Amino acid sequence: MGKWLRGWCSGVGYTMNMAMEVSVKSVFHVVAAGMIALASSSSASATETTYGAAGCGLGSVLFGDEGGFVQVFAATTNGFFGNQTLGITFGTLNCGEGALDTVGARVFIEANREALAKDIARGSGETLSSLSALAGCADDAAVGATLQQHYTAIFPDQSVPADAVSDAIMTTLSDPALQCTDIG
Amino acid sequence: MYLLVQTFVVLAAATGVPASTAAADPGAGRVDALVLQARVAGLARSAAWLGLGHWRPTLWGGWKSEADGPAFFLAEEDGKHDPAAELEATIRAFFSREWVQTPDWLPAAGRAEDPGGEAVEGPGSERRPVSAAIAPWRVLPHPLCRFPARLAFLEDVLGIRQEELPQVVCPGLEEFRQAMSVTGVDLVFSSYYLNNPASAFGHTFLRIERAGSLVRGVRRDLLDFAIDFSADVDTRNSLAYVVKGLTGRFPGRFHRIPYYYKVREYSDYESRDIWEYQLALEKRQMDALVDHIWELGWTHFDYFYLDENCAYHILGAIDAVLPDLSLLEGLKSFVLPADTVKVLEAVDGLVTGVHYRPSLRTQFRARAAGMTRQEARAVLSLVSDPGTVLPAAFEAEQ
Repeated sequence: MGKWLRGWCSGVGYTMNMAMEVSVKSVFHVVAAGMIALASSSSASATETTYGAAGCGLGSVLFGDEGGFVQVFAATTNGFFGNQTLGITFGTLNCGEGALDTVGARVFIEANREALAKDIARGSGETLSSLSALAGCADDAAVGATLQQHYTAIFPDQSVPADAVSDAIMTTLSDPALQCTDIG
Repeated sequence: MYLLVQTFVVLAAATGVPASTAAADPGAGRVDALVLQARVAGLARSAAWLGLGHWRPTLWGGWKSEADGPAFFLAEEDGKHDPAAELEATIRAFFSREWVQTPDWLPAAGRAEDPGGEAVEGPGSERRPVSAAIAPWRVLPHPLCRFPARLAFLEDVLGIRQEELPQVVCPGLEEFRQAMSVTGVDLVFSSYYLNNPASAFGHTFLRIERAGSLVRGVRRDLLDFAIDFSADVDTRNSLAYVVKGLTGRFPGRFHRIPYYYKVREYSDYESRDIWEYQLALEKRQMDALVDHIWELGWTHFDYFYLDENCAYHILGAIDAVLPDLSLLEGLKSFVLPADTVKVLEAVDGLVTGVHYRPSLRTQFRARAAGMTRQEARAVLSLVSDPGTVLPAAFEAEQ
């Protein structure tokens, strides 16, 4: 019985080693934050209140307004079922219709903020290329290089609100040289 | 009179009632003939029909559909337990020019829940909700708009022609098909390895490869859609959670969501590796799968944690469009997500490719393993103080 309870369909354990997991996770995240040197939006920073106002991202749901690993813990322990952590339905995820109907660039940026920060720091990566494709830009490499140049403007510090990040990226993409045709 | 007619047309346009009466009414004779034809052919017992309605044999020799929402059945009596009645009702409903748009189980205007406690919703948005909450369906679109996979099946086996059916417009269905624009289907399996490397529990869902994700010849998988089956959980109480989960007290539903959300959730936040199994489906089968998922969006399934769980229903959806493979028979009484992968892999040629997406944690470990001591030390000092000046020996790229 105990085995069954350990998370089929999401596979999240419902066991005593949760506490250990959280600490492993946090250490991992902090180190990962170091790896991407200066990246402002690691999971560690998400445990502060910065992500509460993230609007559309996973983080806003995952960390909610409670903040901290308590929330991660709750999410993890409740994770028997696929979407308990996210409450994603046809129309929710704090985004209304946006996240569902239009897989738009702005929604994409908010949901992928951390992965984007990492990609932009090194000027390339799957998330960055996907954004470039979504925004209808002509050349992924040029987009990567340009965003990389603007890294510190886009992610000035850890407390930068999600909206500001999206705005900064969208502004950068609107550079005519990048020929992004789909940035609304 | 003119006003009446006009009102009807306007209503028709809004709700999917046939706006055009130009299509020839084949009359009751044709419909009766089709019903008889279906009966003679024994369609109600065919694997394809049973699959589309998710009917499974009961221990007592009857049938029971796993679908638990009333909008999934058209038979007035008991479509859930009677595949034959449901088949006949479906044929008649498809030809119907008048049908009940507001059955009494639909929520009254202004209420989000029906008397049974289920929010009635569709998988798309023919009526767009203003807020983030899902708007309840107060008017059901025509059965032709709700059951496209059943329609395709009946057209195929009974020779029903498009032009003899009522000409209905289905904006929600069209929007859904457009959003999916399916060019490929993957079964996605995510593991959970963090504390117990020997464990391979997991979660399965579908990735719908969209035409729009192919940009300048390169596929951008993150831009695809995920189709997920999960329970709408309404409690944070662990005990209630376990009890309700084991006894089917949570309604499970199919959801669609941009694939990148799933990647971020599993790969980044939960440190779970992801495997994507590409399925060798013909275009016809992919379209049927998308249509069938749309059908499933009209209902819920009571979620049983041990057997009727995500993996089971995802496989059930595939089974509905590949009835000849009897995929569900390959499952044991308790369904582990990994089992569904085994079932699919056991079918010759069904899985054409496997793509592995390591979690952020896996990637981090792989990178950290390749570091020199000096590099590792530099990383650690960066963690404690982002302003640390790196040793001059490091190249800019590092």
